[in-house]
Amino acid sequence: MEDGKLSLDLLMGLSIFLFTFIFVANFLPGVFADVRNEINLANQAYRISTLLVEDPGYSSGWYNITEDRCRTEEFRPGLAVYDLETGVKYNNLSVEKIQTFARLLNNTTCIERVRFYLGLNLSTLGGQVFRFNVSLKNLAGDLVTYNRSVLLNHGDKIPVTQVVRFERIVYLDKWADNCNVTIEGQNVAIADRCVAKLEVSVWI
Amino acid sequence: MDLKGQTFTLEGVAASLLILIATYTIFQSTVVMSPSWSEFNNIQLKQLGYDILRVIDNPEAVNSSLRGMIGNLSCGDGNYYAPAEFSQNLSALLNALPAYGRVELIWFNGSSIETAVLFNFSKNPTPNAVRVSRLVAASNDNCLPNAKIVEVRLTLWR
Repeated sequence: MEDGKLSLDLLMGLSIFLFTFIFVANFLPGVFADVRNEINLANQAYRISTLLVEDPGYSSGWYNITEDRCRTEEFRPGLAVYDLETGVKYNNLSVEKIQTFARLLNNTTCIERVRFYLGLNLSTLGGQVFRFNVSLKNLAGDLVTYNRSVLLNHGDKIPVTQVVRFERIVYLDKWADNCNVTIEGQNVAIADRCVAKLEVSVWI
Repeated sequence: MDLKGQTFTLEGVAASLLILIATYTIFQSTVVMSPSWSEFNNIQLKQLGYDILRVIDNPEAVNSSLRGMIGNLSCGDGNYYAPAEFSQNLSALLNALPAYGRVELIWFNGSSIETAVLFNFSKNPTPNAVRVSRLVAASNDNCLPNAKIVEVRLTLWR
């Protein structure tokens, strides 16, 4: 009488299937880890670009900080122009603030302070440390120069791996050397402004 | 030899193989689209759209600003023509993104809401386009009758 008995083959078949099923169930979240990571990076890139473009920074005179004082002073870099009458001028970046920001990013100690104050170093909270790079390009894609020196192309060296970039269209409060665009052979300023593209790249 | 049992083993092995092949295929495909990731591209384009409207809304510029464009708009045969400077500037900005754009002007004419589409920016958008708008205080009695506040609506797609 064979009825009512489990055969060894059935047990083997079931166990192979269950083993594979459990393995895949454990493995699947790892497959999407890269994508989740990118979404996390995208949030950071969006956040940093907004901070830089729509915030004048803290304190109001943060751009007077020199490299030797960046460790002792608390500040939040923001590049937007602040007007006493109209308030923050969104998308209008101050050349003076950009120059200070670039100087701080060029210094090995200060870049870590900037990273910390921008919320890109979450190691104290058990989180990740993000690498970042900020550059200012004209509409043709060349780096914007002011008095013949590159205004902003600073931060960590961009790797070849996964990098998420967020772009913003901005205009400067002073005329840079190469912010005009060439239209039909003529040098034209967009809406009579020095328009440029701010690129924020973030990676791990 | 029990032949019934053999079938069960084969089914188990086949099912395992199917799951493994499916997982391997997903893992090997380079583009794993998730809704939030595709939304990020829309966020980027939408933000650039808002930036464009903000940058070209310069009250001090004449023909190249939003207010100047509305004030100096010309019309005829149902078409609306923006000043050449404005069209060139907006085209330069769109080329730099790069993206295509459609510009509509929406205003309140006494009892109805009217829409005008700029001649050079009247292409039909694709389904995944994004739309941004900015309100501008400007008037043009010839082309936009009774307009006091005009909504400049920019539709962007790639």
